[in-house]
Amino acid sequence: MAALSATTSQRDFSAGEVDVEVKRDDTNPLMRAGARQMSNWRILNTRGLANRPGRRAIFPETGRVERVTMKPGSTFFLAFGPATLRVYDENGAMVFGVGGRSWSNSSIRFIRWAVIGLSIYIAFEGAQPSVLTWDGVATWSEATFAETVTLGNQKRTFFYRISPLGITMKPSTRSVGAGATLTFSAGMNLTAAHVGTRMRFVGRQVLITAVASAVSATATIEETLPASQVLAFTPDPIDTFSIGDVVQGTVTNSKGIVTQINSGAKQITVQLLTVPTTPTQVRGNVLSVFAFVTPEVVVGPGGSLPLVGVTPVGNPEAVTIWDDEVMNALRGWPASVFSDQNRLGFCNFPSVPRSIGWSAIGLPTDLYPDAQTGNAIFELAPEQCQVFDVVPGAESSEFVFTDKGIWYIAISATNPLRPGSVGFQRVSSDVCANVQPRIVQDLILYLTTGLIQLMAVIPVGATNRPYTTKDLTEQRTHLFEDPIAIAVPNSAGLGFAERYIYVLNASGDHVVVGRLQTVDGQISAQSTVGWVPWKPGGSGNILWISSLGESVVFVTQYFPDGVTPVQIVEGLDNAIYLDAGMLVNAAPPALTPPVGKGPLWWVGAGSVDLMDQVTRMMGTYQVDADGFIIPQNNGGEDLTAASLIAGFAWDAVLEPFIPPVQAGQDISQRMEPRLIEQAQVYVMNSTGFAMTTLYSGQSGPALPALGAAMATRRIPTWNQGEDATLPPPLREQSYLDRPLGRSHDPRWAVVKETPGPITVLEIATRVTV
Amino acid sequence: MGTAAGGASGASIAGLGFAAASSIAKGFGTQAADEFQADRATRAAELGRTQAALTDVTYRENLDTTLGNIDAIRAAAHIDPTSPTTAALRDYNTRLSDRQRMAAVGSLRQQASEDEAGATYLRKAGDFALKMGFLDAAAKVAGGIGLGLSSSSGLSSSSGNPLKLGALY
Repeated sequence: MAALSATTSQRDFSAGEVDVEVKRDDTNPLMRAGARQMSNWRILNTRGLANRPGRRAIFPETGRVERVTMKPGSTFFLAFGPATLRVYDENGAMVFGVGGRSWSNSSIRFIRWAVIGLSIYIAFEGAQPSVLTWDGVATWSEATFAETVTLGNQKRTFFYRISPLGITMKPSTRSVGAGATLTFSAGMNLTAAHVGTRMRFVGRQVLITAVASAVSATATIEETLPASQVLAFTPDPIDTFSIGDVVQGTVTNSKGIVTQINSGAKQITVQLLTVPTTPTQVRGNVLSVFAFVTPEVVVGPGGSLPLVGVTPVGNPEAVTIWDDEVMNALRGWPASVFSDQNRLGFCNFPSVPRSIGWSAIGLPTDLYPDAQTGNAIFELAPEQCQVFDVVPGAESSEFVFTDKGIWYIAISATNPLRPGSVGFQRVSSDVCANVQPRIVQDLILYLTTGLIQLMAVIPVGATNRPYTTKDLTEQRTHLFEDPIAIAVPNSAGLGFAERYIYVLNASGDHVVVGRLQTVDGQISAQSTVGWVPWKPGGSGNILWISSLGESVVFVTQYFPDGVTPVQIVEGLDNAIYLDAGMLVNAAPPALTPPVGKGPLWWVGAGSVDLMDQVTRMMGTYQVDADGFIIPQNNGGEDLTAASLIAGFAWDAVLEPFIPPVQAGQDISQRMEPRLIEQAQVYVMNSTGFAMTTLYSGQSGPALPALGAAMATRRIPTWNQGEDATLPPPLREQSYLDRPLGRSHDPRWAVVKETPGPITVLEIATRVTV
Repeated sequence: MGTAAGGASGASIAGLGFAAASSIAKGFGTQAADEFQADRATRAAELGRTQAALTDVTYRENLDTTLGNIDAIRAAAHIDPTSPTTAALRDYNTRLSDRQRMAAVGSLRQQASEDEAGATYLRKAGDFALKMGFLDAAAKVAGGIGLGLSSSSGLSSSSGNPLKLGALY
């Protein structure tokens, strides 16, 4: 009796490459719409597959390269190399460059930058933020970020009590410009590193100039300090006031905190909380400054007493009301920067990790928080978190990504971002990774800690809970391993309508590319993503990805000679079928060969793949040490052709799941080794490919590795009688293969191993049960 | 004639007494009116000071409520109580409230002081009017006596206490 067999067909490949563990779960919809291997394919909106686009070489550079638009029509490449910061124009010509930066190849992922006007603000852990400014014409310059210092010596920066709590500070004098000794109570931890930093005593700034001990420092008074004053009463004030009380005068409105009570003299000493505004008075023939005056009543939380005598104001008292500068060489610099609502924002402060600071509106260097609408803001996110990023999201709101979860700050025209408007509403308790989130339409993509899960913040429209999160990588986690960058083009413009998300693993082995599936034409909570890995052509590895508008930029490292690395900035280009592709006889400006060198000077004694006439593959060619292609004199070879493109080819592999037959009447289904009797693939625009049987038998020392190619049937690019000097016919046809061998896990794949187009619409298999 | 002259002289003295008494009575009346107005101004001043005190308390209570609301709203928004912006908002609202309180309370206190000053003035004016009434009465009596001495007879025994109108009769 002939073996029973079942025929299945797969026309939907939208689930992409799925974790292999689903291979026995034929009820899993991802298995039905996914594949065991799907590398270097592009998932189409029609749910078929096409060979992925190539990449056009732009200029040689390494590290992290991103595009930035400074004004309409003026777009540049911003390149963060090892210890370098460079700017390139659209043609790849360097227009600015500096070294000495503190980042390295392994840490450039943590750089954050934001644009306001013609300035780019750059933040990086451990480094003072810098400002890269373009003059709007041709000149770039760079400076360290410095907060505004007013004519009154007030540094407009963030302050917060970072030093231990409960410690008092007593300045020895209070006049602006004077040198003062700051004496702290026990427990203070002054070090020499405090020199050059500022503190605020009762809201007024001092600049530390020397440190004598852990509790004593010398400082310059930058703003006149609030004074102290002795107030006398008829009854003993101890029954009415206590040390620490804030008291206020009913006439002068002077306010102070009680620091001493002298019952015998019926006096209290107060440290004023404001600089005196009472007019100077002559008492006893001496011109004196007063805050509280007689007659007035002093009101405190425990009652009030009429004032019967006051002294002129004196030097400050020891109080705990003081705070520290948040950003400086001692406290560290913010590691993240953002811009939104005409404000420059900083977060990920090493000294106050959960804080977020916004500049004053339109004044990026004014970071002094106050209560007026346009003033700077300094807030602390909940739960002792570390804020990694603040991302402007949908409908003006901002999203806060931390190691304790995600919050959003509601912002609207009726609730604009202003002092007091900030509130943290939890979106998710996901622990975020320090990978810069990216926004696509209404979604914000982010990675959770562990770096195997890409999530999305999705608006759901509910009044009380307007946002939720969704895992976009479920059952595809094998593709994600320590991702370092997410890139999302903001429009389709590369010759296809699909919207893709690009995620780069740290290894650079591949970029995971996901097609964002819309529901009724919209991205929603029901949207899913099918993921496929895109591996670089040749023997390269990808260093960085980024996007701006419709463009996607890759920085890829190749080894054309197998040894020497070459780093190239590339743009995704759906019109070519090679990576690092360049027109050999019309090199891009930045790759123009030096005098005496050949067009592939940057490849040097290596090898490249050549194509001409858009789709005609020519094979792999050697390049001599000077960058000249060594002819092979094949038929149709014309190394001077204008259409000649050199680059690096890749293999696209599509291995479908072979679903087991479902349970039912006993026909030994799922029990016996199975044979793929026939596999058939329906293709369009094909320029040739191979169908390969993969080993899936027992494992052993003398046995092939699982997945090793056992037999291959090649579909040629040109059939007999066709002119191989012309572009190959783009065939639409169904091709048959009869794989060999039986296995409980039969495997078979379609491999596009030559550069050129191909579209797969259907795979059908007839397999024994 | 002597009788007639004596009758005429008696009538003249009686008129003199009436005039003096009238001046004194006018002084008393003016003083009484001023005293009444002064008492009213004093009461207004006392009320004003009470209102000032109450306004002061009300503003302080309102400030407490405002600061409490700020704290509560900020807490509901998961804002840390040590937030520098919260401190700035509290300071700003305190300054705002203090300024408004000082303006309102100061105005009431100023009005009370004005009322007190008015009361003091009215009391002094009443006293002055009374004194002027006496002075006027004395002047009239003195003028009448002088006129009588220059014409004929002496004073009537009925001159008596000029403060008692009945004494003239």
